[in-house]
Amino acid sequence: MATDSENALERLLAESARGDTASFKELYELLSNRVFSYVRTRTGGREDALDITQQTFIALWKALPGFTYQSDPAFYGFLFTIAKRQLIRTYRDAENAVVPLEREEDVPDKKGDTELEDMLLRALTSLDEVSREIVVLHHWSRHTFGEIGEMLNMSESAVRVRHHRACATLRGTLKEHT
Amino acid sequence: MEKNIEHIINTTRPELTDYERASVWTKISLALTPTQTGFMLSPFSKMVHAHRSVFALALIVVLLVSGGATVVTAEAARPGDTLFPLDQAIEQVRIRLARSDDDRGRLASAFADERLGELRSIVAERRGSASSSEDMNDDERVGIAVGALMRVMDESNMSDTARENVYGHLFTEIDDLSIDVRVDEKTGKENNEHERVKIHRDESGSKIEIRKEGVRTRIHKKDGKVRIDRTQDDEFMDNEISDDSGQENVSDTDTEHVDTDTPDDSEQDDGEQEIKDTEQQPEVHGIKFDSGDDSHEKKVEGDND
Repeated sequence: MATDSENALERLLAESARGDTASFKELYELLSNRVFSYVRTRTGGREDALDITQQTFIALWKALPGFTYQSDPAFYGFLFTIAKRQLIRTYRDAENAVVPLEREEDVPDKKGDTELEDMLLRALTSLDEVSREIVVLHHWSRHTFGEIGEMLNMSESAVRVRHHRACATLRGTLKEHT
Repeated sequence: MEKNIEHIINTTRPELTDYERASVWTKISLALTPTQTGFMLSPFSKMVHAHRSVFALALIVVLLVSGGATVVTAEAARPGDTLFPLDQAIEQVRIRLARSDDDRGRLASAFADERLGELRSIVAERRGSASSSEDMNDDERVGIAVGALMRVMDESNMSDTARENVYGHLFTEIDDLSIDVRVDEKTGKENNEHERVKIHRDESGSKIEIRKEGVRTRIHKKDGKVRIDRTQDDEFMDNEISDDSGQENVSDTDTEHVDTDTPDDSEQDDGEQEIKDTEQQPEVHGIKFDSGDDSHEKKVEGDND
């Protein structure tokens, strides 16, 4: 059953696809922090994350006329796929920087804006790709385990198990560094 | 214990600041083409246009009674809209109330980006012959938009880099236009010479000239470079801009000039280009153009005077 937020998202997507910039701005206000926090874990600095957030929304605007809404999680999967492509494009185009998403620990100088954020960003690199994706999507992009399961094509229980293990790994990694 | 680590992760979530969110949106909005399925005025804007005089009178009363809501509405106004002068006035107040020169410069850059976005949409309407105003032609709206942009540039504390970036985008937006209008930003009607905005290009399409309030801004395109000369000299007020002969003399002694690559030409330039005119040993700036699919790093030369 569709919730109010689902209906609102579907409406904003439909209006944006028709070229309504006001609706797209609402969409941006709704999603910008989710996208930014997601790409922030994969970039070397805040400025890069801002640039990629910007590029992601521009690419989303262009892609929306061809997008068919099915559910919120399906759209989020679509959105974060665009964000990943922008990340790949950015680092592919950058001089001497090829960063496959499977090896994001190689992103140079991955610094946070606070000491704790810095430590956490480094600790996240100790996780495998899927676990890191789950942690970031759940805690920073604020998605439910059910939504993440749909986005990553996993069962909700499998997502919960991976999340539990990831938290244990992070706890151990942070302890080592404190 | 797991809850504790989850709490740490939750509380260290990287978030956009209000300024960052607004700044990123401004850049995004510049890249949004208003023609996905046709650009339409909102019903509210149509109503405002249909009842401009009544609205202007009511505006004063409403502003006094419930300023906040009116201010929000004005911020959505575009050049030629009744509320547009109020939008500009609000921006000027915000610039002047900023705490530092840096803040003023950042605000001005954001407002210049906003003006460019408005110009982009109006030019798109003009090209599509989809005039959105019943009592003002599109040239007048373009004139107001260009004039408003130049005003932000003139009165602001924008950095040189930001200013040059705006010029580069301006060239892209208006390089196939030729207009000559006398407009008053407040009324949209013909006013006087000092409110004249003239955009002229020569036959080769390599030169654009904008005159407004005694300031003559010339943007030249040659060999993939854009050069900007700005002259603030009363002698130009009495002289017509030369016709499309392409023989107009451009003085290098003008008060300000900057060379930069164009966003369009950069597509053909694989990487950075060296500037040919090196007589003045200019400082080199990097400029990032953010519109379109890709961002391009530009080399820009300019005098330091």
